[in-house]
Amino acid sequence: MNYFDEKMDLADVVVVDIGISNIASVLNSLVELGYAPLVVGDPSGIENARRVVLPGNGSFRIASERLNKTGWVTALRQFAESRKPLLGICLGMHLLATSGEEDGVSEGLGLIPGVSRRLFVGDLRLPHVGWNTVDQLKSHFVLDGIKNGRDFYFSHSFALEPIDKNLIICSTDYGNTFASVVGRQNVVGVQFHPEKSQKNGLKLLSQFMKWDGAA
Amino acid sequence: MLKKRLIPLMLLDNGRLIKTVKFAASRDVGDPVQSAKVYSDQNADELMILNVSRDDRTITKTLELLRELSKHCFMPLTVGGGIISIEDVRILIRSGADKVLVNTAAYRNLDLLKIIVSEFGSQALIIGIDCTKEFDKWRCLSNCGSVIEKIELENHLRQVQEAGAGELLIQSVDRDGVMCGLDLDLLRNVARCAKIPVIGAGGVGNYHDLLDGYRIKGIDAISVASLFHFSDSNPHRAKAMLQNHSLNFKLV
Repeated sequence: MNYFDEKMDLADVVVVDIGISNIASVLNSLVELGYAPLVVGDPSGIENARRVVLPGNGSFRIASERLNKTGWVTALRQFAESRKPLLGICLGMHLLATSGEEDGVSEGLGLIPGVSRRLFVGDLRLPHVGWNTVDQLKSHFVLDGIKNGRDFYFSHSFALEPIDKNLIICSTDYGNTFASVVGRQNVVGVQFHPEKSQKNGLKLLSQFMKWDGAA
Repeated sequence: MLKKRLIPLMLLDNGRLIKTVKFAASRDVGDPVQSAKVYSDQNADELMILNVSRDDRTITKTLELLRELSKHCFMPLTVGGGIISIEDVRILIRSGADKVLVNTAAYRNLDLLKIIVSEFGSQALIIGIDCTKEFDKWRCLSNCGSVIEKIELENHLRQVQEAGAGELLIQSVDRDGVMCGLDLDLLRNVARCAKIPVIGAGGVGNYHDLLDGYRIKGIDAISVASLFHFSDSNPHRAKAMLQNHSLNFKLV
């Protein structure tokens, strides 16, 4: 299937491509669930999308520069205002923050007020790589059907610290406790990789695809 | 709590799944896509795919396989073998790899490691180090075990970590395919020098070998090939035994 030539209004979900992540895995998992994703590298027209996934790996600074240079910042902020569902994965979750402290301070989308900072892990090793427990502190539509305390796949050194702790939906321990799922209105961010977390990860993505964006 | 990882290792030669003994004497052990599907059904923690063909050091064949595999496997995929440029890394990561493994190029081109890390982050880069013991000292081997490197293991570990590597795959060449137990001294030594996660490999012949490996402080993951290829063993059964020894694996 060619995910690049479809029309925006026919797609179930738009996957943002700023050239820094494993988009194939996100696409394959959405296709596995029976949806038609569309990869978009240019922000124009994104307001017609039904829902948006912002995946990402790597450096906050480089991602922030690319988002700013290509007009994604404005487009994603406008999309978020439309109350349609937006999911940030890993670095895509960090980018929802106001700013990120990786290679100096750079600007995020400001959809979840807070900062992306290096994990404080004491004498544990970084990056935090592997399967770790996700403790559900609150209920959320995207977690429906997933048992509390299941493991998801993490691969990161930074985490989003929301100013308002009420936005933390799940937490995970690695040296310290950090936010593994955050949510504010129609925006949700996950620190782990649902597209790599087998059964429970696919369940989360399938819930996101059914979500109407209501908090 | 972060769990221990048990990672099936798939070696490729000309599109087929193979298994070597001491990096030579390879045997065909099947079709990589079918094997990957089975590991996926068994909820393996991750999958590692390395092209070890000595005639074909390009990523072309691996890429074809990766595109197929990533349609079926919703678990972390590491891909390696013959990576020499940032372009190789870009296409592999866009095509479904979560992490790339670099071995030989890490001796020749530390700048490549730095470029990979700045573009994709530390977590996307695993450095593979193949070691052989020579008079109570470990030597590093490159080019699929065929070239002895001059650099000392400790120095190489320091350099790749300074360049930003996110994980290490430490393989004992002497024990590859021999199924006589991991080189525990090697893994202890590396885990002491390393500040990043260490994956041990080479020599696992039974579940007690795995237990010995996981008990080393700093060994978070162990990679296994022969045990799964040549016995009726699988990740499920291995973990069921290891959980009786208070080791924690992921809850599905």
